[in-house]
Amino acid sequence: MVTISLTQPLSTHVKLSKGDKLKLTFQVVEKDGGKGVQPHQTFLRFYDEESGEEGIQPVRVTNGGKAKFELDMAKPPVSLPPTSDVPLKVTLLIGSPLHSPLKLELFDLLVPASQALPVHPEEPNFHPLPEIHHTFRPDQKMPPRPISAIFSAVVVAPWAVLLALVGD
Amino acid sequence: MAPKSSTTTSANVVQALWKAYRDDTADRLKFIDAFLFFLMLSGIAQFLYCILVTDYPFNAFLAGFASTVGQFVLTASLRSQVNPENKKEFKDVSPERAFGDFALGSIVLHFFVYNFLG
Repeated sequence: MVTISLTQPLSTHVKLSKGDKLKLTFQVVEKDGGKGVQPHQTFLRFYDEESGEEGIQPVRVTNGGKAKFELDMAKPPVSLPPTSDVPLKVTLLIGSPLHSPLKLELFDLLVPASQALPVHPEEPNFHPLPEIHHTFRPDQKMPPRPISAIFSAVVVAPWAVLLALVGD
Repeated sequence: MAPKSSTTTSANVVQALWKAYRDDTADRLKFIDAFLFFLMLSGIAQFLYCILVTDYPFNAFLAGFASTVGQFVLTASLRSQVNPENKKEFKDVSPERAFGDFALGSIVLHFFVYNFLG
């Protein structure tokens, strides 16, 4: 059992194996007076710095400000993000309209690596597509001059026929 | 003319047809027929070029071919309207009117052809 200081995050990683359980208890009190406070929002944030994955776990706090959170590796909570060998940074986030917000870095958590995320079927649409290189049809060419000349004569010949027929 | 015997060959029949054409057709109609023949030759020549060599400026082929075919159609209709033997069919179309239609149609056709030739 370890007490976490408010001024310094824990120096050693907390390592959890398959069958381990992590229990976290704390009490939220006012700065001056020490009266218990039930904040509107209390979250534990698990953040993987390398992949950018994060999970948010809401924590139930009693009227007196007491809170208890249990992480059982045999039944991991849905809020635990996909993990690899990189440790998760665990932060406590507290929000309340009557007090200033609190963001407290607690400790680094090492859990067994999860299965790789399935690739979203739309994933390729979010990256630039491969560049298209068009190859256009080569330009059409004129036929060689002699053939052109011969067929010009062939096409003009009917005029001669017409003049012969009409000028009788 | 005396009727031919049953042993007439097809060459003789063609010759007889040709002779009848030469003798019996009015000069005006033969003039038009010469023009029709000329148009046909011209169209065939252009079409052969397109098939055998290239259709490279395709619009040019279309314009030239359409001009011969279109003019052929206009001239053929003029011929049928002007033929005195068809007078019963075209009671309210005088030969002058037919020629006017022919001229107008030809102008429109050549306007299209000239623009399409490119």
